[in-house]
Amino acid sequence: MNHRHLILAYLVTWLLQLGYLGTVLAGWRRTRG
Amino acid sequence: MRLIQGALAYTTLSLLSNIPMKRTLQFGLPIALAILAVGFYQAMYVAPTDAAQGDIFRLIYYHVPSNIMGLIFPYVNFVASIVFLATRRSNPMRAQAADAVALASAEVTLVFVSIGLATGILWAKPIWGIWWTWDPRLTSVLVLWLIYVSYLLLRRFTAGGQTETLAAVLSVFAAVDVPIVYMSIRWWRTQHPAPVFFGGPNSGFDRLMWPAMLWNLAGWFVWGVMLVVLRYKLERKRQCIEQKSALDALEAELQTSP
Amino acid sequence: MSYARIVWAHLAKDLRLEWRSKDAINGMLFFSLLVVVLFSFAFDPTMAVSRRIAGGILWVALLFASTTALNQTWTRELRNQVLDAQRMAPSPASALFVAKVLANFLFVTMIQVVLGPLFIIFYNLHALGQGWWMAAVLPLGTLALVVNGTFFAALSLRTRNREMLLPLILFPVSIPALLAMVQSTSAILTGEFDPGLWINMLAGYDIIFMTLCLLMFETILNAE
Repeated sequence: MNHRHLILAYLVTWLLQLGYLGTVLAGWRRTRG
Repeated sequence: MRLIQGALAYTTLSLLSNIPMKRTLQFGLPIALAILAVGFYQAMYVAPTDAAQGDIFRLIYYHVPSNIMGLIFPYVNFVASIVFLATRRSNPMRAQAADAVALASAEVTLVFVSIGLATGILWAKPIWGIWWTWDPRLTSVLVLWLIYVSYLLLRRFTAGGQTETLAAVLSVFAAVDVPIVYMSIRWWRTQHPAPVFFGGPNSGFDRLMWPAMLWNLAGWFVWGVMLVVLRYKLERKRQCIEQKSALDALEAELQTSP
Repeated sequence: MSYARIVWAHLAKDLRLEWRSKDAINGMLFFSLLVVVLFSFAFDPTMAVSRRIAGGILWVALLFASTTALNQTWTRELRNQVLDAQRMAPSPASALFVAKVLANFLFVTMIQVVLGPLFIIFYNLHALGQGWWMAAVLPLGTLALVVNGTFFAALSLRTRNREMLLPLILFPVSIPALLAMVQSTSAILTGEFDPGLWINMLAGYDIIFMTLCLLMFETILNAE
């Protein structure tokens, strides 16, 4: 049960970070094209 | 103290922004990921299990760095906003750059603070049995989050040339307000105590846990700086495109008039 | 013209306009009344409980009510390009700001004068602490709301969604003031603790943000 929160926390962290990175890169692609 | 860190980070960023191509910046990504990978390994396998809290304590290696980054980047935003307000008439080029830094650091702040809040909530429930408490630290972080959301909304809803100035002013208000929030909640809680999420997470911190913490601190810092520089470059690109189209419109008008 | 004379000129104009239309006052008054009644249904407080929560309800009601009026004081300036005229006038911009703050302050205080007795009636209130401290809390709290509110209303004036935006940027910044207002009012009503700390905090908040707003008003007025 404890581990569930741990996994979730790490997952949320990476999702948010990669998600934001994704939006920045997508924005970059849009200005290129 | 944080202000000095923020000013230092701002200076570092302005130096880094001179890296010409974004491709070169993609060096940052592997470096950050490498450090974070080591950090992950350290956090999961090397660091000892906490005696009281068990494995879920390993959350701390992501929770604390996220919160610390979430407290440094607002100061970058603040310094950038001040620079903007100071130079917008005298040196428009620098002002534009400062505004781009302000926007980038605001967004990255929001990412880190959101993660800090989310991981904090996930940690609190199994350990202390409650999702949330209105203690000084948590409440101030929440208010910080709210203020930066409102900052980004202001930027989105404002038209044209005044966006940067208005946002910069709001940033100044934010910088004044957050310490006041912290103090007011602290006074409130000396009068009406509420559950406190136990001291610093450094209470009961084993010496053997430091490597994991430091690796992750370094990793997320590099990651954060990389994000800000990337977002900064994107914003600068957008500014250039906007200025170019404005110039084109002006020239077109000049041509058609006799 | 002296600074005070300029402020008075702006203020008199606003008061006269408002007196003729009574838009803001009526809207705010009815809105506050509705909020008070709604909260009664929401909480259905007994006399003992109501003392604890009345402070919170009062100030939240006022916060929402003043938001409805704050936008309005500036949109009035947008019609007929009055705002541009203000910007070009040689008088200091901060005088305009002070006048708007005073006008809003008067409006909200008028609301409180009407709402206060109603509050006491609906919630069967009877201050256990020292009731006359409210004479300090009410103006200080109102000033805190009105100073930042007027400033942010001016800030969001030329934005796309200004009615929406004002509460979004006003509320987070106002949180410490709200806490102070509610705590001091509760302290006075319940008599359980000393309101002094909170009243001082409120005064400090007022001074800090009044200064900040006065300094920055010219910047946002001429933001383009």
